[in-house]
Amino acid sequence: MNPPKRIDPRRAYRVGPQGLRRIVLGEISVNGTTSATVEASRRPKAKPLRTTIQPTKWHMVVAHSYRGRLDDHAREAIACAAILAEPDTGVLVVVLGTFQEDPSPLGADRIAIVDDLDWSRYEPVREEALVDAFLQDYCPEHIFLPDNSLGDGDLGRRLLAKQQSSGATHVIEIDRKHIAIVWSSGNRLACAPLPRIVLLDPGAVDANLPFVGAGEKIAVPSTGLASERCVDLGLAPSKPSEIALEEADFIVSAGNGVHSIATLEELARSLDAAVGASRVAVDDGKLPRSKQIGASGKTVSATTYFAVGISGAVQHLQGIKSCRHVIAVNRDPGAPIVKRADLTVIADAEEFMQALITRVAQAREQSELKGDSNG
Amino acid sequence: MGDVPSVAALVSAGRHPLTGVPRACRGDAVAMALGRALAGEKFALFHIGSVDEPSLRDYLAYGADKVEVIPANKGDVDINAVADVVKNFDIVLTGTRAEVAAGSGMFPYMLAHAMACPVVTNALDIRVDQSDTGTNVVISQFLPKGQRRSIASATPLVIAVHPFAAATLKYAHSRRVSGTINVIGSVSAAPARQPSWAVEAAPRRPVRLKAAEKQAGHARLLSAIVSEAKGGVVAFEGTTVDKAQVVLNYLREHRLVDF
Amino acid sequence: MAVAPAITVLFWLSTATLMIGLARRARLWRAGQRAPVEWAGLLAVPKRYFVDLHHVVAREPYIANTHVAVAGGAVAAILLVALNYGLAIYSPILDVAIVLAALVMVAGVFFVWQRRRHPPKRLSRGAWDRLPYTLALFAVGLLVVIATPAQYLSAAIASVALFFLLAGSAELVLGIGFGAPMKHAVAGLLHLAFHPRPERFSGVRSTALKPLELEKMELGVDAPADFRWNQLLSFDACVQCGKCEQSCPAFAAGQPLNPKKLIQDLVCGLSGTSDANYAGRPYPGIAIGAHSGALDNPIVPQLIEPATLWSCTTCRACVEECPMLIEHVDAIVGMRRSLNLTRGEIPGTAPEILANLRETDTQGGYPKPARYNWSIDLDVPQAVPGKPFDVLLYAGEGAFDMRYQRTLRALVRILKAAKVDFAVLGGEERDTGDTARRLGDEATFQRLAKENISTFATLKFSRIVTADPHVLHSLRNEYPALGGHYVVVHHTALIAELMEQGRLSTATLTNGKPLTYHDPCYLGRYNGEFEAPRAVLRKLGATLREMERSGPRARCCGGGGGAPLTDIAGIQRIPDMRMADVREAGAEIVAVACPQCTAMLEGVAGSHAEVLDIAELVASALEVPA
Repeated sequence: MNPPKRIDPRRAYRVGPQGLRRIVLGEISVNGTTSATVEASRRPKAKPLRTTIQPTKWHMVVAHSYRGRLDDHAREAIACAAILAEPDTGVLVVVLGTFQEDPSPLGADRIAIVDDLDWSRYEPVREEALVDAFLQDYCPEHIFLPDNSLGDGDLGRRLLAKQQSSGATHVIEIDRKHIAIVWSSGNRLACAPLPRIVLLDPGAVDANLPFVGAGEKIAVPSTGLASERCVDLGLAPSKPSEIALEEADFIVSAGNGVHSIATLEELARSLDAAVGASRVAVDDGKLPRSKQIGASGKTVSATTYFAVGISGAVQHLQGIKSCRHVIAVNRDPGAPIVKRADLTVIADAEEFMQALITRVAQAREQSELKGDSNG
Repeated sequence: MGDVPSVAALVSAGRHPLTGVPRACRGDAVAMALGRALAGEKFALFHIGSVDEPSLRDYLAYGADKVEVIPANKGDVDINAVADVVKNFDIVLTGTRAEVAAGSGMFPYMLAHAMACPVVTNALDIRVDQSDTGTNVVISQFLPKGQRRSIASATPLVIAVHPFAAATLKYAHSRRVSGTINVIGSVSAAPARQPSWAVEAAPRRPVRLKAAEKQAGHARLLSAIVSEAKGGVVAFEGTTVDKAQVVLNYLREHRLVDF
Repeated sequence: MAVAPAITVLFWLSTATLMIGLARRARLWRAGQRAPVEWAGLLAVPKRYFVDLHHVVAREPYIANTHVAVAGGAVAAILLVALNYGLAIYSPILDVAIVLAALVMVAGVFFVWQRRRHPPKRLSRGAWDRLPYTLALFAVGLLVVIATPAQYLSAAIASVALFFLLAGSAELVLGIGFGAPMKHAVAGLLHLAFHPRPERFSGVRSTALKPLELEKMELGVDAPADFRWNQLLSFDACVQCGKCEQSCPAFAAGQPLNPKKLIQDLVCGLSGTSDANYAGRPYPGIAIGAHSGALDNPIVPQLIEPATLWSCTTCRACVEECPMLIEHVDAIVGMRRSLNLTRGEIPGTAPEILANLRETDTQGGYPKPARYNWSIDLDVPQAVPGKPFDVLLYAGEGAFDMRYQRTLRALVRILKAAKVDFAVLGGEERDTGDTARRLGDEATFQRLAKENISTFATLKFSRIVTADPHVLHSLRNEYPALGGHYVVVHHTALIAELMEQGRLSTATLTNGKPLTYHDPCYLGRYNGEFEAPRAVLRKLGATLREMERSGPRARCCGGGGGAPLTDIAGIQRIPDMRMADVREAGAEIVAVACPQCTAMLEGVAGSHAEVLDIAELVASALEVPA
């Protein structure tokens, strides 16, 4: 006779954000150890290939890598090409710059990596020649580029001006049949049929794919010598702490809880971040008025906003409304910033900054070592 | 001091995105300010469109003495005719993006293509060096994350100015009233090269393209649990080193740092 | 020896000199722009002097009495000399009267001298320091010449005394021609006669700025000659007493503004000199001697640095304190107008705010309908043309500030509790243009005002209520000049009225914390409303702990006149000083009645008294009928 069915109170679970246990459905603990199953449930299941049919048509994506990686925006462009592709359409990705990652999860079927056309170089004529070579070889049905200022928005427009083929820029909505853009910078959209060349705005596509691409690496066609009409004089060194707050992507911001601005600036440097401040810190004379963020200061739209020792007065929160990730360090768990922050660390600002600076330095060192061994 | 280059700026009709109130298109006004600083007397400001365009007075208020209007109907103009008007200038400046209609940012590229000269976009600063070999224009170009690139080019060339360019705009009512708007020449219409846009009547948010996913109920429930992990995590416990690790993990998890 | 004819000669000589000097000075004043002149003002001078001017001077009894003695004695003596010697009557009885007058003057001069030995820092030194001596020479000379019996009056004594008299008279009569201290007497009296705001003398708080005629390209003050002539005259009336300097919040905060120096600089501009002879405290951080001006030269930056003009909070504390009734704020806004309208040179975030006003009709660049987002759950009635209502609630720019929305919500609760028939403009409400106007952007102000007036014209209501004194001031005092006449009340006045009528039942405040009230400049000094807020607080059972500077002399919060936007650096911040006043009064709650004051005082770093609007205090004490 079977023993009566019981629910094992120690069955597999994971800990939710509130510290509550969440049982994992469908998993049964083996030998009473939960860790193994939890690990198993966390491990992503192998995703299927998008298509197994030999491609006869192509979608092409061109994107610059940034420090050996493709950013979310570029990933969205590749995902877009893959999602819109029919089973007999392949996704060809041309990465300008170094790229070490596995291209399959991005949805790429074939990938050409042009190491020496890095984002940091300015060789528009050569870029155009290279893309032309691919266009001739593959005759892609559609070409997708992220509409960014890393060079892809520029390249895409050059193609559009030269190709005389249909195309659209700043595309914010896309599917198989149509595209939409923001009309007159307002809140209405304007639609058109899907053109050949599409420059995508960030956020138009969800880059998470339920499938993978074939990820085959291919050689870069040689383009011959191109004579550039503009001379690239190189990048000017820039100090992140001097970046204008409006264009900063990562901001470390000081509030009343910060006593040493030097430490804060060091933290900002180690994270390649710009420095901002709350009104109180500015009023205290810790930082100049140009650094003030909030209703009476600047409104920022950084992806990451790191609020150190800022309690988060409503006026301040008004200024960081459009920041995607807010991380707060505060001693008071009841401070209003905690409600706004995606991650809050309850700690003394000074001590924590020191710890984070050390940890970031270590992490950077390790990743550089790893990068060297890879390259 | 060598010769000052001649500079033309082409400005568009601006509209405030929220209210639709006519105004100088921000990026174009900055281009105008850079051009004025660069060329002084040898600067000219052009607008292709209606002479009654209300936003043109704003450009006067921001410092232009006069605006030359090349009458054209709304919609696509013959870019070759525009190129004809500005072909004698050393440098042609435009903004990065118009505030009305599609705002594709294509104009400087099309103009450069028609003029058969190079185009440099996202310019923050423009310097002109005169040397024996001719006029050399050095442009500081905007790149993300506060980085800047210097590009040198011979003239003629088209430069699209980034809205962050370092130009202070001073709005003076008296100039708005005293400046002049002249009509010169005309530009014929050309067949549209941009897609024909159908503008929707009602405001709405764009729909994000998402891969169709066939998931088992179990997987969907799992993802529901996972998605709960977003937002409002508070780290109380552990040493400061642990907490630093929590932050670093968060930054890495969301790909906010590149190490 | 007959000294009498000598005095006669001296008198007429002095009178002629005075007239020549006056004519020379008047030529400078006349370089100014035309202004309506009421000659009847001359007849009103005694009343204006003894009532209006003396009312201000009497706040400091020592110098008031001293001045009465010196000036009274001098004027009496001179008039009597004019009668007795000028007309060659030579009556011994009149001589006695002259002697008495001279004695009074001597007594007064003694006290002037006393004070000049250890003068307060606000007083200018330089030429002013010689006054006790030269005035004494005049009085003593007159005494000796007239009171000494002829037999004792040797030639030597007579000539010394006459020399004294001559020296003293020189100080009195040359002042106006050479711009020396005694010019204040002549210019001051003329200034009282031709004051740019004559309505001040009929007991009205005249605080509205005069509109520019933009169509006639009237674009503010670029050079001294662009002031109206009676403004130029008013600068000459300044006695450099430094009362304005003492009351100026920007000066106290170490910002580069000193109202006294500003007026003196304008005198330099008027007379074409440099500021090297100025002997008072400078603009903080700006050295004396590097600036000079001329009637037709641009004022900024040769004579006055722009930062000086942009430091002003337009709080009118200087005007309130000025014994000569000089209008500093009008002068500052006049010069700001030129900087704004003809050069577009405005520091800080002000250009952005002004662009927002032009393009969105709001300071923050918000869509207009978002102004009443805070009221979405309060079921606030929206004004509709053709449907009359009693009170129009005008929220102002504060409605976009999440902190001030609490105040507005409290106010709506109060209006509802008192069953007031009110409505709001909703998406039709524009900025009043007040901030634009203080920043000198008259074009934007006039456009906004005209558009608001035409919106109001579509509605039928009996009065406007607002919680923002800046809105109150522009709607009540400045819109009439553009054709908009409304009854505008501040929310504290309306609440006081509702309480008086028994339409609001409130309990006493329970927490019993010590409380003080901060007078907003635009409610108090600009509109004379000091009582209503206090009456409301009393009704709530609060015992007010008044700050030392309260009522008409209240210190500004630093939020007026666009000063937070131009943001000129100082050594300390104005709201910090005001919060220190609060602390000194021992208050744990500071009641406010203005969105600017709320924001400025709440922005003070460190722990400080709780900042609560009167509406919030009232709403918290509302007794909801069961």
